Amino acid sequence: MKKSIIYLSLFLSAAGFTGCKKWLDVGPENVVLQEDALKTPEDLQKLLISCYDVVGNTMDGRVQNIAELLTDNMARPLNNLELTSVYDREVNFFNTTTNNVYTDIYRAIFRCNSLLESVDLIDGLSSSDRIRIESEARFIRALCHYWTLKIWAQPWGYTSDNSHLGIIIRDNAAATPLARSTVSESYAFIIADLEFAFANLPASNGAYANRYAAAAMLSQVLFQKNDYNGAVTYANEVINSGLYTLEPTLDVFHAMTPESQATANPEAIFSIVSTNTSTIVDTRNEGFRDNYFPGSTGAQLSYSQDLFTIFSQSGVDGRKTAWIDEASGQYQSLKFGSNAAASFFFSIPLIRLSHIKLIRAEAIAEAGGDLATAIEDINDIRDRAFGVGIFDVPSTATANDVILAAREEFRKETISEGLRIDQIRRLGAKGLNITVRNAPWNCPGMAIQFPNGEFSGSLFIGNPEGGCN
Amino acid sequence: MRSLYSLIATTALLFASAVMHSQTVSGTVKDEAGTLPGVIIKDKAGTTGTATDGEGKYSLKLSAGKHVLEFKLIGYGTQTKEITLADGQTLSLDVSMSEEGNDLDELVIVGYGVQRKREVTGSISKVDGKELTKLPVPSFEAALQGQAAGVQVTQGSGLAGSSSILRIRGIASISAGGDPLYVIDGIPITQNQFINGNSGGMNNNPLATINPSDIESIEILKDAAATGIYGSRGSNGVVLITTKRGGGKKGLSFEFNSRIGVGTPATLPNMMNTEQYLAMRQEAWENDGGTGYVWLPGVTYETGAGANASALEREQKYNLAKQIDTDWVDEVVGVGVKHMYNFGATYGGEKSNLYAGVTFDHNGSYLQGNYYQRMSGRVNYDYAFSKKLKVMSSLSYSIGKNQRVSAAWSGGLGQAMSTALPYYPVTVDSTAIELFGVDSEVGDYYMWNNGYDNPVAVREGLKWRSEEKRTIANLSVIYSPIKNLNVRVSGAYDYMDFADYRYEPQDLFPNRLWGYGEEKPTWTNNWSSSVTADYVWDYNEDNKFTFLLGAEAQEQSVSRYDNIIYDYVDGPIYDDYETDTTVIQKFIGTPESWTFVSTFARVNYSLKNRYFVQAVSRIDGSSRFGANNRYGFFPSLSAGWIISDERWFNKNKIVNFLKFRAGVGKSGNADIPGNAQFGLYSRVDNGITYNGDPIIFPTQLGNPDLQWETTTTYDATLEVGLLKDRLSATISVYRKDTENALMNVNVAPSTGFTNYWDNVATILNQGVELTITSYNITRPNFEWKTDFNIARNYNELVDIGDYTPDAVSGGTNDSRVIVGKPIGSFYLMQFSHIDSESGRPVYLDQNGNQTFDYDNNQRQYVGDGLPDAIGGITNSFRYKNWDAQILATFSLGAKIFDSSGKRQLGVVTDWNMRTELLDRWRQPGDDATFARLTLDETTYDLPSGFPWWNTSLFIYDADFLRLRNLAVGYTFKLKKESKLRGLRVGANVTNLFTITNFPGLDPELVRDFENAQDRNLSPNVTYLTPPQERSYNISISANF
Repeated sequence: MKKSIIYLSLFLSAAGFTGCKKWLDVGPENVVLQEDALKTPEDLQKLLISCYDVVGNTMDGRVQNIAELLTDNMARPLNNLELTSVYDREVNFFNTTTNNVYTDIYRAIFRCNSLLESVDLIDGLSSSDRIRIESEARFIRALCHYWTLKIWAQPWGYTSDNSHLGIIIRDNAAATPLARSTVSESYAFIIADLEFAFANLPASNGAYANRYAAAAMLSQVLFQKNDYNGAVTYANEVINSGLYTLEPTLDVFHAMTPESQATANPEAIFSIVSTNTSTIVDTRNEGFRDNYFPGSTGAQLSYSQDLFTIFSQSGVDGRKTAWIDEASGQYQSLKFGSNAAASFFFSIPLIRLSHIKLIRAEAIAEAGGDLATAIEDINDIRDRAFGVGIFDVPSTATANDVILAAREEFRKETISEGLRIDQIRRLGAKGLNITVRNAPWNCPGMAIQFPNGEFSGSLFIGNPEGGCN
Repeated sequence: MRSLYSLIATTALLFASAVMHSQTVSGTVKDEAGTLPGVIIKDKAGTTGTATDGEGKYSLKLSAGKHVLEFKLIGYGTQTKEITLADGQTLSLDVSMSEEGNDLDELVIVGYGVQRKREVTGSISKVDGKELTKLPVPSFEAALQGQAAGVQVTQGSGLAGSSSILRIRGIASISAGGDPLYVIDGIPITQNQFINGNSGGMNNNPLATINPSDIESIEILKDAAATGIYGSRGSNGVVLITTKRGGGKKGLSFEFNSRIGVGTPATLPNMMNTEQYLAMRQEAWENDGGTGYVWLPGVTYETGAGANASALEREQKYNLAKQIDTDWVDEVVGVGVKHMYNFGATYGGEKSNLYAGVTFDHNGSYLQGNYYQRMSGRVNYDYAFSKKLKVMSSLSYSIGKNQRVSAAWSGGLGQAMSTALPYYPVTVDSTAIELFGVDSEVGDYYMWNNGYDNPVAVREGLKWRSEEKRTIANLSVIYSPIKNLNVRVSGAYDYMDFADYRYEPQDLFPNRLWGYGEEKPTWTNNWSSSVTADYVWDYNEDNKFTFLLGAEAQEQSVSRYDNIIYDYVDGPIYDDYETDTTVIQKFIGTPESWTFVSTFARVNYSLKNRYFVQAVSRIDGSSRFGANNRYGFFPSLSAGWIISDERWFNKNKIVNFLKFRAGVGKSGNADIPGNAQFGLYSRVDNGITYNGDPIIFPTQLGNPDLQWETTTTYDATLEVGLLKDRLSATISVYRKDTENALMNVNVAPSTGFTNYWDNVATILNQGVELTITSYNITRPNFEWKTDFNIARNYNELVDIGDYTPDAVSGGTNDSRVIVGKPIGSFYLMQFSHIDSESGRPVYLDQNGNQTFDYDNNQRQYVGDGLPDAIGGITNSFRYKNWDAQILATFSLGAKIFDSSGKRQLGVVTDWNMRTELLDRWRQPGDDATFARLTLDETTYDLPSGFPWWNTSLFIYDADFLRLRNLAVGYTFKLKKESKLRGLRVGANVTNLFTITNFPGLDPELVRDFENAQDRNLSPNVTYLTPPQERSYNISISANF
């Protein structure tokens, strides 16, 4: 009897464990395991495009709106409480609107880092593709880090040695908790990425980042840290390439009509691309479209009285009527067209020639360079806005005149684009008396709070909340 | 034995002397020690009865003919004797009863087998199936409430078909499922409550399709010695459900029962009417410095195009609004109708046994338009080919149809308690047209915001149904080649076809151009098979061994469409997506599969029938864990000792039974998503492009080291029988140490992800349980029995590594993981009082300092939803043919976070408010419960844009004592020639009253959850959750 029990138990154990391993190897269906995902150059290219895809979903107006609401360009949002808290500079770590933007930005950074860690592992990747893919990934990583730095940290110059807290810099795909880098370190990392991208990107790369996109970003970033010569150098690279010309009309986003949406924007240096073909319907501008176009009770986002007044102060600015509708009781935006249905498919020129010209103009004047070029840059913009020669900066203008004109044009030209915040921060740090809705440029809430999840690790230090009202 | 007594009776009959027209049966009842007083003797068919006197003697007058006599004594069980009395006969019938005949010989299901109760070394609570059908409940598990110590059953909301939460000896999991493992006839069944996510303020309840009438008994396995054999998944306990089977060569019999009733809300919210709401709003406006009349949501605006509404316009609108007063709660609440019919047949033959049952159960809730319908059928058939070979089979099929309404945050009653303002009309008249400036005809529904908001219009327009079709089948072949050896091979299949159908007509959405339909089907296949062999080895009279060896494999696969969308349709579409041309898009969901494979062994050793030892070992592998950590080892060791059987034990009149048992063991939990361990990328053909170029992308962080969550349980129990079991008690102490508890931790979003799965936490549960059964009165015509149980559990999150309380949160609730506190503690700003000078709220920071500053960084532990003590008390009475039962359940020491209070009792917004708010600060010197009214959240120092006043002000004591069930019944005296064997009619009321200090709706609540983690962390958080129902029912049951 005992024997039969032993045999039986042996049989059962054998039956249990034979094929056990195979039985348990249940892979997920319809998805791809990480280790199987990146095998060919095509896989790598698809992952690279996915980085653009996230950027396209994040810089579709969503991140710009947050940046813009921190400035004096905007009126209080209609009823979106989370956007209102940005406007009030009281963002706390439960704000899902800002948290989602932050999370998406870092999603793109993770993908770029995964890509950078995989380039060595792919068979059959040509050296030219390899360097291009690496450069594009580093461009996107820099773009994403920079927009985070602009919104979630106090600016360059907030402390004399820029040792104040910047953002988390992610240079690899490990999912470890990290502490924030200083602003100085953050800038250095961003600039290194952009310099690599500028050195190695092709001059032409379809809808994706080319070397001039990197140059234009470098010009912006260096300008923001008061490196005027650097800003001019890279602005010259962009402008002198001859690839970009100003859009002749005030439809600078090519957004106002279906026809303009279908044609290339001549001044776009790097764009978030919407696609409208017979097979693909893909619109990447919801952040703007969902908030600026009015519903039955008004537009969620509209411009401030302050901004409207500035448009009214100097001459007859064509942008005032082309971009702002004052009839509704709000200063509603027309920069993206006048109705959401007709402006469904516009691409977003994230960096455009107008920005770079105005940066160059101010940088030249600050650096003591050739004012004629600076004046010409400003007047190119003014000619389009006011009519040729109507409101030009005179050739006799002083460096200070040029600086003031460049700043005014920059503010007016870039409304809604999330760039006014750079100006406020930079000028504040330079010592100008800049306030936004009666609070100083460096009040705590101007650097908005990080998402709750960032605090799940013990290394992280957040921003102080509020304190601007 | 039985036949022996028949023989005695017959013999006695033959020799008895006859007395005309008077028949008597008399005798003495004895046990081993002597005569037994107090034994109740009853004629089973009639009402005649008596009891033995002090010398154990009895005498009973009966009619001539056949009788079945019942001899009953607590601690000695029941014996029945069949007698036939001739005309005028006096029958002498002595009966001997023994303590051995008590419920210690009752069989208890232990998993892959049965044990005699005396041999059991683990903590098992048994609930008879009859207890489950006494209560009209949305789902069978709700009827377990109050029945077993340490089993916390929190009833679901008043929504039809809603699920209850079962917690067995506390909660030992954080992100992995914290519910017990449900096993029906040996099959671990599909029990995922999140198959349809959180839809419409409700989670689907996969247990609702199980027919309570089919259940013979439920065993709840509480400690490692008991769960041992299911140890791998038994960390949170195991619920073993055994369905009815025929048996006992009893021939064919039938049962029929039916119940009809109505349901009303157990309590109702006290929302403000128009006059009150407008006055509050006006006061807030004036407090904030406003002049003239306040602006009104939906009418005049603070910001935006209408912001400049003139003072005159505001006044006109205010006065128009006053003319409309809608009681939205009344508009959505009604009376639910319930009716249930169950028919069952049982057959016990020479070779085969059969149970077959069909049930139709319509359970309407008090929410208008909401009901759950279950149709189910079951056949359990056993056939013995020979003494060596037997086949057992079960097949059940059920359809659960849930006619859905929106609830909680998604609409319906939830909306009546929030954004449905009292001056919004159901349909517009000329006043409303003028007030709202809408382009509608008189009689049209008023749709505010962008439509889909009027709960009445939505209820009437929306066609929404969830449907679950479920088949559970199993087949076992039992082969007994030699005496005492059984080899059992079983296969089982549990198939669930769930679909959610929804149709939204175009007119619910003023901006939509078409009717919209959607369908979300999910198919779950669950296969399991096992081979076991058990052998009983009686070495000699004193030494007995039972061996069990087994292997088991289980596979489950789930496939689904995330959504199938039909645009331009004019009615609901059911299951037509393969051919229907209106299908616009099909979104294929990510399928999920997982497998388990296990081997197990159990040895029971019995020495002298009073010392018992059990050793269990189980090794489990699961595909859910990383390749490095697939296997878990779950051993347990336990022992029992019947002290009262020792010779030296002085069996006195007081203590007649004493048993001690103790055990230690390890159990596990693997209830996590099937793909949790994998680092994943999207499908290659995901169809997503950017700039027309295809993309692939990472979707999930992997963790190849993911492993079993394990719990080590220690249990010691004393069972005592007093006064010949008139009073019996069981007291247990236990400790459960959980390690490597699975957490879906929130990782820093800067990693590019929001969360991933890891084994992180250490959790402690310890407690004590007491069960008392007392036969207070046992007279022939009157019996009174009391069952009482109470359990105290202490729960503590011991460690979560380097993580902070925000590492894991309970959905949108403010429950977090705080080391040193129970799982799912409420983590909020501490409220102190209302400043009597300014009317502003005063908070306490983490150091206990008073401050006006509301600061999320100062959130702290302010209470938790876990009770200190839970229990139930059942009093059962029988008087002649009448019976009555009163079941009360209670919970002590838990807190409730009334999360809707933060909007209903705080900043005045576009939410309606509760009348408690009338006790608000109005002028300096006021000592009020609530703050000065304001339209501006910054008055309370809340961050601008966040009128959610998340403070401990809305934490309340959740102590309650609830009269869960009050039932009376009458059992008819049946004539002998009647074909009916039993007939009972009854009536009952559930939730007749609740004693509580909780000022909100219902102190016992299960809200809708986002996922298992939310369900674990957020008990006792209410957010517009519908209260439970009170139901009134009458029932009839017949056996024939």
